[in-house]
Amino acid sequence: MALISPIKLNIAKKLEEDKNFRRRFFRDRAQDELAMSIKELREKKQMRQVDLANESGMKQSAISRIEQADYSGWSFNTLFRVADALDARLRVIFEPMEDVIKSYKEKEIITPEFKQYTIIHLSSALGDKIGAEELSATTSDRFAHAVKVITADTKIEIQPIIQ
Amino acid sequence: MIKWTLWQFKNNVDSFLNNCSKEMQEVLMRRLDLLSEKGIDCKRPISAPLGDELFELRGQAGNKQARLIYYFGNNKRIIFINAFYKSKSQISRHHIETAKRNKKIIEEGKEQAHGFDLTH
Repeated sequence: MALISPIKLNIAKKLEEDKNFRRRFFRDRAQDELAMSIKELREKKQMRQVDLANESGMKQSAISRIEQADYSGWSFNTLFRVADALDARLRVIFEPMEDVIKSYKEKEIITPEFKQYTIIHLSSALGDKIGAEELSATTSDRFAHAVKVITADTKIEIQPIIQ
Repeated sequence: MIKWTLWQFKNNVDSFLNNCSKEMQEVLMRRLDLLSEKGIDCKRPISAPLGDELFELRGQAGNKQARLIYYFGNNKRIIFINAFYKSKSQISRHHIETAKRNKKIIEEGKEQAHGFDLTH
C-alpha cells in the first residue's frame, strides 16, 4: 500500500444524482461558511463576542450560537445587524445548480500531480505490463497507456474526469 | 494557480469514512471540500490548530464528534495523518502521538523510492 494517496470525494457525481444530498450539502455548507466568516472577521477586528453583541444590540449568547457551525436559527435581519456591527458587506448569491455541478466536475479533474501519482502506482501494480518503450515515453503517454491496460484487463470503468 | 489537494496516510480517511454513519460521512465530506477550497484560511469552528504544525478538521453528527488530523505539506498538499472519534473534551495524547508518528514516517521520505518527494 502506498504511504499516502489522494482523497477523492467524488462530490460532483453525488450532487448530480441526488437532489436531497445537494440540498443538505449546500444548506449545511452555508452554515459552516457563515459561522467561520463571522468568527474570523470578529477576531480580525479584535472584538470579543460581548463587543459584537453590544454593537449589534444582541446578547453574547446569540453571537456564540451564530458562531456555531450547526446553528441555522438566524434570520436575514440578524445577519444584517451582525454585518453592520462588523462594518462588513453581507452578500447573498443564488447560483444555478447546473453551474455549481459543472464547477465541481472541473474541480475534480485529475491534476498533473495526481496523474504522476497514478502512473507510479499503476505502473507498480501492473508490473512488467508497462514495457520498456513506455518507460521512455512522456508522462502523459504513460498515464494513458496505464489506464488502457487497466481498463482492458479488468473492465474497470474510468470515469470521464481525465483531461 | 495551484489548488489545494487532499492526501491521506495509508487510506486512513477512506477507512474512517467507510465506517462512519451516513450523516457523519456527509459532514466530513462537506468539510473536506471546504478545506480543499480554503486551505490555510479554513478556521474555527471547522478547523483548529493543535500546535506543532498539526490541525484538526472537526465533524459532529448527533452526539458523536469526529476529528481528522492533518498538516500542510509542500505544493499545497493537505495531508491527513489520523482520523478518529473524540471521546473526551480534549483530544487524547495517544491520537496526537499517532499523528506525529505518521507525519514522521512521511517526512522521512520513504515514498521517494517511488519517485515521489513528500518531504515537508
